[in-house]
Amino acid sequence: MEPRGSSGVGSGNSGTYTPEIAKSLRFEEEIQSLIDPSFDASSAAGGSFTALLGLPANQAVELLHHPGPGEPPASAASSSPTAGDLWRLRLGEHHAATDTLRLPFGCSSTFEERAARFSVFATDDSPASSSGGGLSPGLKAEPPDSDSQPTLPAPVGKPRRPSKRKECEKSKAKAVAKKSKSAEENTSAAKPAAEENTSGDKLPYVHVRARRGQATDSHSLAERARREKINARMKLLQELVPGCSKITGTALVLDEIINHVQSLQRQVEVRHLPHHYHHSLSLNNFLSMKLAAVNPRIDFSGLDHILSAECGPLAVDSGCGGGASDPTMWASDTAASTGGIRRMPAPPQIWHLDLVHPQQSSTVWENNGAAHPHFLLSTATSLVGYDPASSVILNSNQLKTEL
Amino acid sequence: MHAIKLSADVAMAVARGNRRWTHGLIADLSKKEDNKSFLKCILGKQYERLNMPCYSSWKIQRCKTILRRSFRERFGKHKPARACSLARSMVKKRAQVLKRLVPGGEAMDGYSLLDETMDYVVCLHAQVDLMRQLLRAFEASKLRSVRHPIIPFFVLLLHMF
Repeated sequence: MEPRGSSGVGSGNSGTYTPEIAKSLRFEEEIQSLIDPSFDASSAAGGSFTALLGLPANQAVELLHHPGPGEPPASAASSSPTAGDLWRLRLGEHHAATDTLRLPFGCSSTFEERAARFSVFATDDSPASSSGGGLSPGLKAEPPDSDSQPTLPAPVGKPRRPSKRKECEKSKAKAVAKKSKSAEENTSAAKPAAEENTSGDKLPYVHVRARRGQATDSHSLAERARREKINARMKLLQELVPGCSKITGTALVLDEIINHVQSLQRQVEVRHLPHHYHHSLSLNNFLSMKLAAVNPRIDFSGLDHILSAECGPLAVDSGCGGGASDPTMWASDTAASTGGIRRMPAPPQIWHLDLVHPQQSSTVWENNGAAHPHFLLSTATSLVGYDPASSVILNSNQLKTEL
Repeated sequence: MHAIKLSADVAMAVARGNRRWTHGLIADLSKKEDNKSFLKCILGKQYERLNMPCYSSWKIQRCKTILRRSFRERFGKHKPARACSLARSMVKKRAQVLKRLVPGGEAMDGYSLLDETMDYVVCLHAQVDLMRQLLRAFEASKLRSVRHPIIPFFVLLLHMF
């Protein structure tokens, strides 16, 4: 297929929404363009934000297949913003057994091709498919249930996204998911427990055929179905947590899962240690400290009164679409300014301008970035970089909403 | 401060949509008064809606405990030393620990607990990976440019998610 060159971001049009897995690590470049307004990324400035949305899609796929702490190979620079939708949709469907399979199939065949092509997914596909194939017959009730359900949370979750594209995604996802499931049915080993999956609607009953030599009592059947569901989930969890596949026995597997969750939480937690620790960078694994070191000026002190001052007048202007995006900016921006009350009048002006003209293109983004270099030079960095950054982010939000 | 963690958690919860653990997470976060206004601003109308469901699930858990206790009193213990009951108690203990770990897990039965755990683990993975990438990018940009590349952190995270 076409090489994953720098043209990735440019392909973020409304028509194509195939998330492309990039072999080249373009993620750093994209973050650069986010961070540095003057960074001359090869792609359009607005496109870098959409590209970033693509990253979670591939990251999630990567995580689901290879949850090891290695580097995620994907840097989905190319994707359209709908890749973010796709990721969320996929995560919503993940709790069914076949999801680990459906993800590589994605919402279009090209996704699957690329997934098969790149080595990372190719190696991880086989164990996933082997386990998924065994699981799929027993869990036919779930995919149709989960299919209809996550499509509902998906639009609720992100009201900013255009609904049209989501529906297209959903319908295509369902179609391909059904196709993939039928393929599994044909190829998977014949297990007695099977179920009709014709329309993909919610099926209220799980038809399980009794196995030879087992009771056909309705109670035991229901019990057995329940047990099988729980076992299937346990198997999925085993795959997710690294190093659990060899362990037999529910209790030990749960032990491993607990340890894993605790370690993950600790990683995220320690990452947020107070920033005076950043002087002692002896502890290398703690991302929170490093992040705090890099961004030492994030501070939520005085958040309350600043927010109350800000949210009032600006809440009126922003519509419900922009309302979701703007408060986030206000919150973080006010958080960032550790006492710049006098600076408050300046940013609101910028915001007002941008709110009035929601159709601004990336040119405005660059203009705003160029208009405020003097701010950067004049005052302390913590309060300064804030202004162009905030306008940058606001513009990016506008771009996202209109996309 | 815990600003980074707070913003990361809220970003994750918002991005993930309506799962039970996200509701639990937001409810836990809003227990502290300082975070409430932040959360309210971000979530907007959804804040009230998201805070509601937890209370009903607490009632369900309490009813279950009451039922279980009454049954135990009635039937007493039969054969507490059987192997499968031992295994079951082990699993039960671990399930308790897991319930405490996963936000909002106390009010879930074993089945949905596994479900939410899976989802939560995936999101945690994503969070950790994102932060690592961010770190790397920030450090790289620091080396590259003299000007401080400063961006409101939470917005950045929300973009990622």
